[in-house]
Amino acid sequence: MTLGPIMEHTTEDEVAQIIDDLLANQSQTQTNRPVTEILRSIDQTVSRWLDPTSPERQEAERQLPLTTGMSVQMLRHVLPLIFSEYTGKKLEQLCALELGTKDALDSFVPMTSGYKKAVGPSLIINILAGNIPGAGLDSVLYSLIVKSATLVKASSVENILPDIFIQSLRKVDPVLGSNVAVTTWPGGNQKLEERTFGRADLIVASGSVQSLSAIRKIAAQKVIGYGHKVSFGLIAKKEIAQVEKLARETAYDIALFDQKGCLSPQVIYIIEGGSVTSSAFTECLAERLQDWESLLPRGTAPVATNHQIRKAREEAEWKMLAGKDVTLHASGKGFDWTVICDNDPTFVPSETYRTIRVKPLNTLFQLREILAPWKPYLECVGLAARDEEYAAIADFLGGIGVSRICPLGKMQTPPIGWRHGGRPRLADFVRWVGLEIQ
Amino acid sequence: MKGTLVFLFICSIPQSSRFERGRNPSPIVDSLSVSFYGLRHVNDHKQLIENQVLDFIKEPRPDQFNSLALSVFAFQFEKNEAYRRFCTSRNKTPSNVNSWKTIPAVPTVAFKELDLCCGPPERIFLTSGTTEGKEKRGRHLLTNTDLYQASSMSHFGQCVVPDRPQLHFLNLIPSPQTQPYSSLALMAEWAAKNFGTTQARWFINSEGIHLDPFASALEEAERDNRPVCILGVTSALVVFFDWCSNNQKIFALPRGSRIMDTGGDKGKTRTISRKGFLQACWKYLKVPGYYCVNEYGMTEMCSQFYDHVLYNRFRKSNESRYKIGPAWARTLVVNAESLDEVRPGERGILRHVDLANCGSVSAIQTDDVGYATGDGFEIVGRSIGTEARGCSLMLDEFLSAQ
Repeated sequence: MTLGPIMEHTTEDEVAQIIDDLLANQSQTQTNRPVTEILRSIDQTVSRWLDPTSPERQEAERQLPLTTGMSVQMLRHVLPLIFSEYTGKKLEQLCALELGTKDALDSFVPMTSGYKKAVGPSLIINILAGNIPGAGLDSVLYSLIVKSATLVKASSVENILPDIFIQSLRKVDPVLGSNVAVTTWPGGNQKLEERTFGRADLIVASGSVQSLSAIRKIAAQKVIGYGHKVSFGLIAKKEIAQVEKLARETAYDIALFDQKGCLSPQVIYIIEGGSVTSSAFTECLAERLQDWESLLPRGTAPVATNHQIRKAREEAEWKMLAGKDVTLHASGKGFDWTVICDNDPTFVPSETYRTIRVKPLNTLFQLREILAPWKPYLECVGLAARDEEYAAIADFLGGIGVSRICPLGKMQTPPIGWRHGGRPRLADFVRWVGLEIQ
Repeated sequence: MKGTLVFLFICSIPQSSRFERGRNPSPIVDSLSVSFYGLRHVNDHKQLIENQVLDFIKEPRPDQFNSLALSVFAFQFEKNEAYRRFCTSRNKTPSNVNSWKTIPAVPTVAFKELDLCCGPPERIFLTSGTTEGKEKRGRHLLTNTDLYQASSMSHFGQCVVPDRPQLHFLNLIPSPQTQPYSSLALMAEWAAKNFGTTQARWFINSEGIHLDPFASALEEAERDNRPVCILGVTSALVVFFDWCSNNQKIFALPRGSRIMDTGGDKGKTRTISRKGFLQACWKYLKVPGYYCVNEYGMTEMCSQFYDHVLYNRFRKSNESRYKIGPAWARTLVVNAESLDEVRPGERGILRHVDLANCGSVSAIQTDDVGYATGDGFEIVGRSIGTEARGCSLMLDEFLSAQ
């Protein structure tokens, strides 16, 4: 199966024309639009996406397995997870959290020494990642909420969901919909990008260090970049009352999105000396991954990924033959899942597609040294710990660079307020105008 | 049964062999000890197998390859415990493997984890392993250096110096003194000794590549009209070509001069296409393409594969360039996921079955991408990882930041 762009590439001139239209629409229809109307339109659109019988959901479930390679069961499961965070109510909560009140977007609101108003830029370019469906959609919505127009550059790997979503938004609210356009072009088209990026006030981009620095070279000051991130699980509980439950939740976090998200755990660290050894947990985890395989089957991986997984299995196998303290559990069928229990605590990013390493630790504090080289990349930790120790462990993890701690099983479903990369989301899009009345 | 076996083996062992390893039975009990010595000699399965492979190298009989490959497999299965466990876990044993194509192949990573050796080692080679960061080095233990020499020199002779010219060897390779664990360095030393007219000269040591003396040596060769054989690591030759370009130096080596390059680019210098490389050989050295032979080999394997351009030229054949191996090594192209053989001409990853590796493991699975063509194969790349997302991208980015 060849996965490839569904949308035709937009040409340089087409993009220029689209931007002209977006800027015109923004100044005419967005700048004075009440934010409650914007939130209502988004809410209505999202409700359709939360309804499994709606035409947009049906179309997404038909097309996305072909374009992403993800199984239809997985897609049916994750689409509600993605969109349930974008209801009007939740978005309003986010505005309150980050701006004080959503009204600050409409008018001057009181503050300690006067008044302030939040003003969004005229044009935001959102450059989406393609690793999992729905990635970056939140930024697109935030762009509309702060009353900007937005040009969305969808990834050439996954561009069908943004396209279908915006079409459904247009049906609900054509005026709001005229402030967003979804395009795609091959990365590294320098001429197009130089001509395009200069016209935006803000660029929100996901990508590798190289692609982000290439964008920054063209657009210097106004880039919010989300680079590659890694997450991991940590079991710091001496007494695990329900090992199977914990293993099931851990396996769920590994299986979701086929482990391709920045919140997917790459490694599970387990502090030894508790009631459950790392090898016992490994075995349990393998069994639970097999269970999830039936409920949420693994998608189709590229040949190169399966090759990498086979190499990981071979390395584990030969370490075992060499008498090293390594255990390998591999799915009988193909490359569905792989669990390797390995005494070497070095952090190693996963091959993805449900390939996980379980590594025992003597103490929590080893992580400081182990993760020091990974500090800029750390995102989330799925933590299992005693209630009394939870906050203290979270404090330690925060100190070494982690920006989100949550229970295992919840890593892939961050709440609306979570700070991707540790920074505010919507608040980073606006500038504040202060007013002191005479 | 054992008695019969002894009888048969005694008949087939050449008389001189008992002196080959420097053993000198005491003359006092010479006649008595012959039978005991013969027994010990005969029960030395390793020596038997090695002799069989050496004989095959001296006089290849392609129709015998499969049965010899299976004998080597049976020997390795018996002598190498880790390999035996690997094979049995896949339900592959000498009793049910009938073809060299189904001999269980060991991935190169295995050489990093343990020593795969079927007898006491005479020599150890280490892989360079620097492109992937702090990776451990692979170890290849040789039980018989003579076998490595016989195999490497025979095929080198056929592919690089088929015309047996009088050549001076200029090696743009670290010498065995600089890198005592390099299989390439040792091979280059032997090549110069066996096929060169004088002592080889080496132009890379621990301090780096010495381009000025190399250039002087080339100038000398031009002046004296002495053809040379340059054995070089590809990346070092690229550095030399860039040096020539920057210093506006051009050489015109005498007719018959040739270049054997190896090692790929290993990511250390700028990458160069094969075509670009051949053009540079002509531009800066006046060595035409058919005298430029690329070698594909690895520390884990005793045999090497060469571009067959020069071999073909002297056979007056016009086939386009691809890699050929010696008669005692065969290559299978397999699917990267299933490891099953691909359809003829289809791309896959290369598996080599090298009988000269009888002291370690003869069937080796690589990650090198290629396809079968003609009597050999062509390589497309050293890794299939280019399409991979996730881990390899993450790791690449992380490592380049270090």
